[in-house]
Amino acid sequence: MMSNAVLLEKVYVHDVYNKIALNCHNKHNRAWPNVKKFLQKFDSYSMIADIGCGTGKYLSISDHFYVGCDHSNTLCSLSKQHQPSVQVLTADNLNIPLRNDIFDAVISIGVIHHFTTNERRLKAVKEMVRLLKPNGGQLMIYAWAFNSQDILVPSIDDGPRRKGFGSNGSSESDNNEENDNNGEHLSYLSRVDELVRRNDQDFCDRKDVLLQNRRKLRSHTLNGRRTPPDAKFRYATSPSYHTKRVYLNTDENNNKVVERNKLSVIHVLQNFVYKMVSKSPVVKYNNPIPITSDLLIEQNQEHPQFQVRHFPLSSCSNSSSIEHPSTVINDKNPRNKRFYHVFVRGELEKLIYSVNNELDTTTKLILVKSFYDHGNWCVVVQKQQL
Amino acid sequence: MKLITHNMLTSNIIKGVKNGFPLKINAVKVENITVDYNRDFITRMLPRIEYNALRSAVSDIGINESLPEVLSESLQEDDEFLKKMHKVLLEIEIEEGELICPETGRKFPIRKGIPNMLLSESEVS
Repeated sequence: MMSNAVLLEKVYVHDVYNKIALNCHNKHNRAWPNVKKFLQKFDSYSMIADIGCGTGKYLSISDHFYVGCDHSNTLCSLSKQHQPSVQVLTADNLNIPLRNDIFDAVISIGVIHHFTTNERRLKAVKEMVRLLKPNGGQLMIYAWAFNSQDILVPSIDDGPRRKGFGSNGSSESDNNEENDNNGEHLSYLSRVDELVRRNDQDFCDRKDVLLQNRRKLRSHTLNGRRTPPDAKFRYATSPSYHTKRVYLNTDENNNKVVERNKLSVIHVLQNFVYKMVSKSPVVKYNNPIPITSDLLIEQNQEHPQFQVRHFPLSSCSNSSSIEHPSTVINDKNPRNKRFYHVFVRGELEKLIYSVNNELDTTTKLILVKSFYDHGNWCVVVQKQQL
Repeated sequence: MKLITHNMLTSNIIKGVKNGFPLKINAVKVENITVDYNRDFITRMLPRIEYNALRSAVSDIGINESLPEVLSESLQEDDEFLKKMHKVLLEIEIEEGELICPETGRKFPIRKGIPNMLLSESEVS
């Protein structure tokens, strides 16, 4: 049987990307300047792997030879449709079917935040390090930054997603047009519902003030009704979010607008408090990175914890990607979301440090660069042979 | 999928597989495409190519291209040889077929030029 981590990734990452693939090419096809710069600094005809290549926007930068990997076959096909000569594989970041030690560079742009446990993120990075040339091969990682917990982001598509949606056979399931109704699928979807429900319960059981406030607010506004996971949002104070909130509310009914505005005021305060209490240490490059354990969100394989966050709170989307209200999604379907583990300051470096500790004694990683870019924590690491 | 890509692929991600290299090719549909010859590109790629694996890939597909048995130093400067390498590495596209793990026989389908290398949870370590 699938472990919970695998199950969540299947439903909230793989299935979603396969579904949204068709309309995501035009919305996210801009290469990020700093990634582009990174790729351009390598000598001509370098060999580069893009792990989690999506629609392949980086596969034609400069005159390098690229191999793109993505777990989504639909996305791989899209890359190939748009650029017939690209070399893409449907493959898993945790088990990359490529040889060791031959790549001048590996990039991982917005990928490892989709893994639900620290252990799996570690393995993902380790796999990418394995591909690098031992002397001078460099890995660039981008992962969503946030000062909160893991999140589910409604995906970019406006249709209901799966048959069997609605745990008590609500009428909405009748609207489904998908004919994917094999029994196995349904059974793991009901497990997903259970995980989300339990996750939510865990939040309620927490003793800390922030979450108690949240619970009070929720029970107050929702009058104790059993609510779908969707109703339980928490808002962030990201500036990009505020500029987009108006849009989010345009297609909501009035009650919900009020409820969400209340929520957001509370959460502005919550996040402010959170920021005050979670001052992160300064990262120094030359030493083992000093990161305290409480900085990291405890990960529990059996009880992954996350929150549901509205699209588009995408820290990687610039304002122009939200041009039409139609891209502001129907998020009535609780499963129509993507999972993100959002990285706190220093966490990515700590992950690299852990990977470094697991390498054999003749290999080590050097942290070349660590920075913040468009709502992501980013690192460049280099593989060295001793 | 081009043969240069095939040359990078391994199935050692399967539980219990040591090398998983080179993957055997069962090609159903192969296309020849034209790519501009770039000597520097080929010279730079050569050190990373597993030459024997490339030769066996060529014979798997059954194309009529005879590569010398041994890749000598002098060959690496030889324009005629480099052009042959260019052709083999970049101009052959396997559109449909499958890749086969040399140790377990596990098959990986190739559809529309894209190999599917995903494994189930029970197949990986």
